[in-house]
Amino acid sequence: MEYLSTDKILVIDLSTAQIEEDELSESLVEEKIGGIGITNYLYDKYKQDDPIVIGTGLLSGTTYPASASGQITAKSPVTGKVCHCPVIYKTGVEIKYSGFDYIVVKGQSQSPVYLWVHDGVADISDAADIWGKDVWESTDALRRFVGDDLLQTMMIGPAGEKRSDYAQVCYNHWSSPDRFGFGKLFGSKNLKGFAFRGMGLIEIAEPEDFVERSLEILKEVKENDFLEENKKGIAQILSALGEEDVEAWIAPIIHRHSADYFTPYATNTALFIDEDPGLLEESQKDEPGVLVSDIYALSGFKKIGLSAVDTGRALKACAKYGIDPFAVAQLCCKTSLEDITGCFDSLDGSIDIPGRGLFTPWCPTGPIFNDFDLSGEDEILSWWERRQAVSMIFGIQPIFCLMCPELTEENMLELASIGTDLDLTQDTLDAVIDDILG
Amino acid sequence: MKGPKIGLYAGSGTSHSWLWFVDLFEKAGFYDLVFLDEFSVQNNDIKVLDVLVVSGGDTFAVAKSLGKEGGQNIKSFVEQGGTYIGSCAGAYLPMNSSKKPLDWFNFVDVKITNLSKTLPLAEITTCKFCTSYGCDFVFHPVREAVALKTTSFFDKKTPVVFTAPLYGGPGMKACDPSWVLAVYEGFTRKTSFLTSRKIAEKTLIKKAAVIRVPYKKGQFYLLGPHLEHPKFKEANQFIIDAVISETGMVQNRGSSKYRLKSAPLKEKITGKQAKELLLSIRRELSNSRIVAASLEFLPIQWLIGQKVYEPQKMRVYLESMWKRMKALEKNKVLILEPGLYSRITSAACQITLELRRIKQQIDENLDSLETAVKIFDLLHVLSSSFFDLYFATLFNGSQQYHEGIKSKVKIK
Amino acid sequence: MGIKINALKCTNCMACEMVCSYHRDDGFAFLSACIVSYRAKEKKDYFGMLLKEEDVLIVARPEGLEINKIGEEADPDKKADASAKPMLLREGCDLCEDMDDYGPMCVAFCPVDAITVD
Repeated sequence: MEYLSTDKILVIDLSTAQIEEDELSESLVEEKIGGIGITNYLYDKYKQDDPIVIGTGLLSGTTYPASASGQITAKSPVTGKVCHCPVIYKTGVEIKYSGFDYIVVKGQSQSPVYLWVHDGVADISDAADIWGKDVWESTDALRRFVGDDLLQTMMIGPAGEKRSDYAQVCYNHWSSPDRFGFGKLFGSKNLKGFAFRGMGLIEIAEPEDFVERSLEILKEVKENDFLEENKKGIAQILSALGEEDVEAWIAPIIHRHSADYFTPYATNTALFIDEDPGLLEESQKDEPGVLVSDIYALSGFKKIGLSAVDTGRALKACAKYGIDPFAVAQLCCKTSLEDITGCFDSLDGSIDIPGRGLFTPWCPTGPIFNDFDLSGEDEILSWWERRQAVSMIFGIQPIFCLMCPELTEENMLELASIGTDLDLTQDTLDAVIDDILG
Repeated sequence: MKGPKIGLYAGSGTSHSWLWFVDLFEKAGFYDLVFLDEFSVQNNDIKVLDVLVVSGGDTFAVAKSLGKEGGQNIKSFVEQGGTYIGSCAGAYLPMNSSKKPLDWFNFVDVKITNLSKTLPLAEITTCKFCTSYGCDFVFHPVREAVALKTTSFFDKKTPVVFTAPLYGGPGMKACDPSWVLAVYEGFTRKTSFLTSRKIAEKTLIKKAAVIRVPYKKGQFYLLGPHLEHPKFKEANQFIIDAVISETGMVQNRGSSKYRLKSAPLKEKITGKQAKELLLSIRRELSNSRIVAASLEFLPIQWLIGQKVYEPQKMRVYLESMWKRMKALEKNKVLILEPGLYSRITSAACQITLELRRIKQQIDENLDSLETAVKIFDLLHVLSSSFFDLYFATLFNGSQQYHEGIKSKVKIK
Repeated sequence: MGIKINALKCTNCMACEMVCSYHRDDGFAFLSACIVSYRAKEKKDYFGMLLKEEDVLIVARPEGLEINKIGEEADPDKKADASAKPMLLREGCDLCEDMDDYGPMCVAFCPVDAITVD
């Protein structure tokens, strides 16, 4: 697979410490396109080994707007279903630029390890020094060891090591969309996580056409009211979903908003809880706050009566522990910060996963800012599942995909075809989606 | 017809501009390249060469490293018919000088025109960029692209005007005008003036930029600007044509009568062993590149000898090797001399360790100069070793002649 | 004419870095860009942009602009090295002068208009 691709599938057997590389064939891309189309296929191929499959969308890391995400496909140890979790921030893009489109991890390591993936090289590395450490300590330690602060990680914390049902795989220092207990799956394999860094180059079949069309689509996207009105951050998403009171409640501790790769809307908000939120210079404190992308966790803590500052502290504690903050907010039945952070190991209950249970409810289950001409719960849910599938096939930031009608299946297919010189049709996409949705 | 055997000096005192010569010669199809350090010059490994190239860097450091013995060997090499190409610092090196240790290299009677004693005192004080040179100092009137024009001693009929960049190289005056192949003709819109235009013109215009000094059976080429810079294609062609012309003459006499006594027989590595070697090189180059990239914009510099080194320079060496990994990995057979495998892997691992160390030192505001020196030394070792493997493998030790090149050089 | 950066508008999405590198490499990569997202202080939520021009490095911090002459040390008494050879890793910004259809690509592709032409 020459274009929009590293042409590589990595297969790692933790039991034997064997690492193999397969070629990503054009015929596979023509049949399954990319992202969860292929991770689903790879999961099936290796399912007897209970694999974790990391993937990237066909458009991930390109100039297509919001082409930010990677994916994790695995069987949730909690629901028992094969589910798909987006990899966001800059981590998703880093996977592709580290030299692999897809990574299959099977088996179980005899001792704690992490996978260091860089420039087309994959090393199974001893995690003895970071096993037992929280997510922040682990990411910091690896960045120090490797010598690069831009190292991207997917890490479990103590929750995953203890095989909690609510353990998350976190990205860098931050909570993730994982509501499936993938952290438990990692922990059961003695897999502390992944570290990614790479400086690859992705070739494009028709670069000028690809870039020109990308810009046209971006211009259309920018005409959306919510962008022209300069909306940003998680609180404004919650307002759009009917929770208008969150904005005023959280405003005093908002520092700045940031976006995932190439994503026009800043879906992440940094809360400063131990520093003046108005500070523009670099804080002298090592850990002044927490970056939040989980709107329902934020709202969940508010609903149980926490102040904005305590919510920030709770979110920070969850991120460090590597536990799903939404699950904590929903299930802890506590109302003080101290009690909440003390209950991580004693949570009980389950989180509802909407629809077929394939996609994370971290993502609002409906359109945001635009209504997409939808009505009725069934229509919206059906649309939402399809939209999630599409975003994860092509590698589009899943929340932004719910905001932006200008990101159409047609233009995603168009750019994918221009970029790969393959004829990727709507029929193919429909077939892939049907396969994923089952 | 076989191609020339070219030695590139990549030892102590050199900057990274010798990498430009590697790119240049590879593009031209000159694949029989040998990478030399000061010890190989002192051991007279250069006598098997057709061409010896010394590029930019710290002239004094180069001279000191090569030493008297190295100087004698270079002299002997040229006397016996070899071609010396010196660019920038390599051009200053063989010029007559009373300053130690340059006085071990007094081979050509060529004067530097950008020497302070050529200027009145009032004008000297306006020259901010200079290097001490005996009782005087060498000053640098301009940087970046300058215009050169060939002389009638290059081609009687058609003067050629082309551009090349100047980064500290000399303006020159030859005692024999027939030695001068090109002069500084003028400045370009990219020329950066480090002194007044008047002084720059006085120092450079119509002065020699490229000189060819016949020396017994061989010749010294002194290039003031970096004609090997990758963005200056016409200037590159000048060098290629000179090499073809000079070594074409050598080939007419038959192959070199010298064979390096200690030249080790190269071995072939295939299969799993080859794959493992390449993977280990890729692994460590990647690890090193990652740290080097993270250092890139840090506000730190190191003064090593007379030269300022920036973190970016580490990446220059690493990228030069990295961009060739894919081509290397396409080969099923690796050709390398005994010991090269361990030299490469050892240097590569050590560089990663030292780079990670220097990152920590910088983050913790500790002194990092010693580590920087170590890293740059290791980068020289690794890159020379890597290119030994690369060129030997890709071209299987055989000389190839790049058919498409037509020489434009008619040396008088 | 030059690039103007509003660091407070920036959301650190790296679009500018990608398209600038594309302009240099004709492929998708981040290595050759002359405009770079500064994102090494992730835990502190401190980010901005670096722009390499011919002779200067512009550091667009959230608190303000900083312009550093390339090769110049913090100590103004120390001279830059006039014989320093260029690295050729990242070239200085040329405002995408060969891209008539777009103008500077970073300006065209910034999703939040944090980059403009001055």
